[in-house]
Amino acid sequence: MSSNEFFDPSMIVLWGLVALLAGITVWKKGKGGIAAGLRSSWEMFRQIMCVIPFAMLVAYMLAEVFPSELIGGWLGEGSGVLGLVIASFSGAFVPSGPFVSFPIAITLLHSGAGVPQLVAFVTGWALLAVHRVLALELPLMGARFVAVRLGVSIGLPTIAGATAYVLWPYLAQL
Amino acid sequence: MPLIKGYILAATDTKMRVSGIGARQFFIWMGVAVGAVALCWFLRGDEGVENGTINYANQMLFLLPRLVAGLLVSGFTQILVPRSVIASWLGDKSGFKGILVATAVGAVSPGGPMVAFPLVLVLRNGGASAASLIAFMTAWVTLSFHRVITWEISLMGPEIATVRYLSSISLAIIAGLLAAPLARAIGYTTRSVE
Repeated sequence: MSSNEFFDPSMIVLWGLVALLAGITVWKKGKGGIAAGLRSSWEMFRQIMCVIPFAMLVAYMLAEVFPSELIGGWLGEGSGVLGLVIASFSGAFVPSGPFVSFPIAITLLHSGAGVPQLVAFVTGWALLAVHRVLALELPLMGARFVAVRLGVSIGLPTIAGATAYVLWPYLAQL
Repeated sequence: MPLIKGYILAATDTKMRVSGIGARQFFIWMGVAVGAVALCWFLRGDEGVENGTINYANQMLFLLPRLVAGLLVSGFTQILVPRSVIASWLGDKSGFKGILVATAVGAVSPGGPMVAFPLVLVLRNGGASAASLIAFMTAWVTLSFHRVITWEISLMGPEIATVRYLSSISLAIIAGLLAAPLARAIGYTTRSVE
């Protein structure tokens, strides 16, 4: 990882937000509010650190077992509904954050994937990403919540791809 | 060694336990992690474990400063926004209005999963329903402006970014509407606020 990924704009936005909220807390609730906020942050941090270091390790070891190069090939313009479905679920197996998934998406586009398939792929990654479910959602929210969320989300990337299929001809003309 | 012992003690301190993550989860996940490393080594050998470990270490390094910021954001939010407000806007009785509010909040929430997940915990502890939580998460991953600007417009160009965004506007609302009946069927219950 290069240093500009480590200190990207999201880091500045995040810590800026922390400073802003700390300011509002002092203003509205005084120093006691800050202490209470820090206590509740610490308690969440402690709980999360019980799980995240291990869950992340699981996610990255499984990423080695199922490499993302397996993805692609069947996602061309003419691949139709089947292509949309395949794209949705291949997105789910990209084992990383946006700095990996978007470059893969660009590669797919350059190697002949259609725009609707690309939309399904990116949405599949955003909604169903297996590594995020394993490393964060399951330990923090519990199995029942994950079951409900995945249950309602499983068809959504295909819906997004189908919508893009309808919209893209209009946008491509602009 | 004292560091590791201290970590295990701090992580599994049952006195400080609030929402149920504690000693049991710690040891279960440790066991699963050992199993995953063994599986990777068995199928991909030393090289697989080495690659996985390098990616893992990079990701943890990337994640920790953002995680700390995200937890501070959610800690202060918890102090500033009373639970009764969350419950009335996003609770079980909030219905379609709750889904719309959650979608809008998700779309404007900045930051990656390290901010969103702590905020989801705050909302859940404040009594938000499954429908609201899921609409929030769906909107945050598919509609957050910050991701569109940072990644999509710069890498994929404005036309593809626009078609991607327009195609995703309905998703959070569909997810929220489907969530309530499925949550009932699966037996997920909203946290009550004392």
